[in-house]
Amino acid sequence: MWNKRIVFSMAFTAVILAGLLFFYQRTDMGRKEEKGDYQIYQRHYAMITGKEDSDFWDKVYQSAMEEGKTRGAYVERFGEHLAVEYSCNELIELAVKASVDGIIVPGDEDQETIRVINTAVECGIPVVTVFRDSTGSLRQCFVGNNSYDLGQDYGRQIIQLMEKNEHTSGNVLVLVNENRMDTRQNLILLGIRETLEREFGEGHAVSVETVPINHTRSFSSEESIRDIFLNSEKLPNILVCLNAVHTQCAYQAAVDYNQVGSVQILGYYDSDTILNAVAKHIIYSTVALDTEQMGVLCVQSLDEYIETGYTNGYMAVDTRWITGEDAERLAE
Amino acid sequence: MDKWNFSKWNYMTLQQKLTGLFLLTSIVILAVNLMMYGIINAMTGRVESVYISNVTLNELSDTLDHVQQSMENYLNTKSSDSVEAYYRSEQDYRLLMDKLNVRITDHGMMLMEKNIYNLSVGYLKLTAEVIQAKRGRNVEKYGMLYEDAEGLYEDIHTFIYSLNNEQFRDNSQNYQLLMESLKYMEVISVGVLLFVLLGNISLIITSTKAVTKPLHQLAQAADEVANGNFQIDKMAVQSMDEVGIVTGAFNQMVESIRDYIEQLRITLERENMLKERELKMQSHLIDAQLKYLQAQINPHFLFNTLNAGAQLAMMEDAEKTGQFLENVAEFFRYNVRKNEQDAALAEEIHLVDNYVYILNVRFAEEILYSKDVDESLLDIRVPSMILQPLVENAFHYGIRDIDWKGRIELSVYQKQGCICISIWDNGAGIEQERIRQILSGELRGNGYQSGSNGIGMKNVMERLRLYFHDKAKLEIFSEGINKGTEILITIPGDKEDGSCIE
Repeated sequence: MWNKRIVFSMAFTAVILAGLLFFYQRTDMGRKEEKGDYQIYQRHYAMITGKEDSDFWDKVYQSAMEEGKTRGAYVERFGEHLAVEYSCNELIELAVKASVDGIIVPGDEDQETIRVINTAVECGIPVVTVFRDSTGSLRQCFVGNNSYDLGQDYGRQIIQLMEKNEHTSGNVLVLVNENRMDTRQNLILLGIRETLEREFGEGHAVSVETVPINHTRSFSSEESIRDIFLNSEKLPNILVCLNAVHTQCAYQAAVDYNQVGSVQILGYYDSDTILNAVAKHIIYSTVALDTEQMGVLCVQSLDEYIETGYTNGYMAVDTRWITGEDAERLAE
Repeated sequence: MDKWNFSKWNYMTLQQKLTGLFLLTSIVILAVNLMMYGIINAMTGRVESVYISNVTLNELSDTLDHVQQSMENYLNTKSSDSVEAYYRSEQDYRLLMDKLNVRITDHGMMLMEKNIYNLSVGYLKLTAEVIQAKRGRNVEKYGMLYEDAEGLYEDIHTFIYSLNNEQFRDNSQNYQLLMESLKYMEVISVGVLLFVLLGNISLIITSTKAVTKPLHQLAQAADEVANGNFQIDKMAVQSMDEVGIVTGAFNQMVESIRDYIEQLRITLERENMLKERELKMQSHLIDAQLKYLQAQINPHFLFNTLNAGAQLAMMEDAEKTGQFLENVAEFFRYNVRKNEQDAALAEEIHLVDNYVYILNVRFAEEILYSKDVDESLLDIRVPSMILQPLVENAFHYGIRDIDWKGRIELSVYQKQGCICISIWDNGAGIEQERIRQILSGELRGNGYQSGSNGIGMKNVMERLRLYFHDKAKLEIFSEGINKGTEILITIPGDKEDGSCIE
């Protein structure tokens, strides 16, 4: 009988110890590494995007980061967690001072931008401009679409809309950034105008106007776009948006001011909200850039430059027009 | 190994077993407590260290301030104190910088550390150049460089501040998690302790039960033995502890007692047999004595002769002689005939009559004999030859040697369900001390015991006792010397029943 007692007591002790060990594991007391798991990379690229159109840039960044990881480079969204809001140019300068291995930044034709890009390149840090180019700078590569081509596409969409509505005249309002140095929107405008002229001939009755949207203050785009809808007499037939935020604001204003149908919107970008609006025929069509390809190409060109000293000066990103039918199909 | 352990356990003493048991349970509780304490302690330690990274960053930030201030001081005053302070704080800052991560990782905060490190390297380079330019009194250069350094100083501050914020958020999450686990831990530890406590209690209960069970069984067995039952089964010895030893000893004791009782029984039986033999011997002796007496006088011859004498006396008309001889003959005939154990009271009385007649003839009517007998009691059976020896004693020791007329009275009567036979004489009487001696049998061999017929008082008493199973009583009453004597036999009215109201 005593033997049974001993077996019982030994089993009891064993159960207690096993329980304690299990418990010890459960409360992750055994955790050694405070910072968790992380990978080490050979190169450090800084991607500077600014605050606007975060959804679009998120996708580009995500794809760039994933591509980088496969190539032994880590792409940092530079300045993302900083408590002070730096401008893109300031961030480029900081990235240079922080000795990153490469910079991905949406460029513009501003002299200051060109200067900081040039400084970076002079410091031996390759710079890739993405989405918008800084043509006058020493940047190694531009990853984006051809703005003139995009403008022609917009023009063709406008023609389609007018044919559909059997209009021969009308006014087209293009929402542009206040920054006049943005060559991208100038080229798009040129593309639109030329396409319309080719279609309708010189001195045609379709006016193409631009509305500068103020970006200097936060949330000012939305207010500026609403202002257009408030003046219902001067409402355009067709509203052309050149970025995702403008598209979203325009369609929301059209809904709020009950102008769906009277104002046809041509959008930009393919976020879920925009696609939903296209499917509901609030937005006539939208142009979608291949954000994934954009991110991948940025990293590829930087890598190529660092490894070989050369890279293509321009890498084209595919675009696609999404109409109501396409959006319905996508939604399904 | 287990077998060795078990056998060793069996040979442990009760104290060792109980001590072992309590030690085991205490150690389990102690171990659990220590472990809990250790875990909680480690967790508290981690809670304490959660914000250590913030502290380090604050230190970095403060040191950066010192670098900047000392540099500004130097630019302002160009004092050796300030340049010394600059170098000291620069050294401190480098030491702190060395703790920062410089690897490229996908961990956001670590990457921020790397950025801070690289910015700091640039900053320190700039400050060194500023100091150098100041020394060289290159006002334009150090002014420009100072502006750059100040800008970078602010940027680094922003980076440190931002990293601090990020870390604080992360640490707060960790802190939250830790606090939650700590609460969870408290509940669990109480649960574990309760579980261990219950386990220990059940272990103690079952184990002490196992220890006390043999003791309980032993106590039960001892109780049985105390109540006189020695026919209990031998108890099994389960272990070699004190209980085992006591159980073994108890088994041996019970066996010894059983043996002893058996021996005692045999001895008693033997003694009884011896006693029986002795009694038989005695009765045989008496029988032999009687046979001897009987053989001495051939009773038939004597009887026939006396009868012939009586007839002769009749023929010669000697009536008294004839009657005398007849009485003598009858007296002897009774003796001859009464070889059986008992006789009717009437026969006994008749024998006394014969005897008194013979005595009266022998001693010329010296005795005045009277009797008062309840006729209904004549058929009562009594041991034979009990009255005659008593009357003989009354004559011999009572009235034979007195100066006055001797009287003997025999009375048989019933009293309270008992039958009383009294032989009274007015003779010499007996002292109380002597009565006591006679009744207690201290006067063995004396005349009282062996009368002329050889049957003494003792013999009469013994036979009465045996015949009536101690229910008969013989008493002697005498008021003193020359005051006469009464011998009173009280026998139960019913021999079988033996009841007699005193």
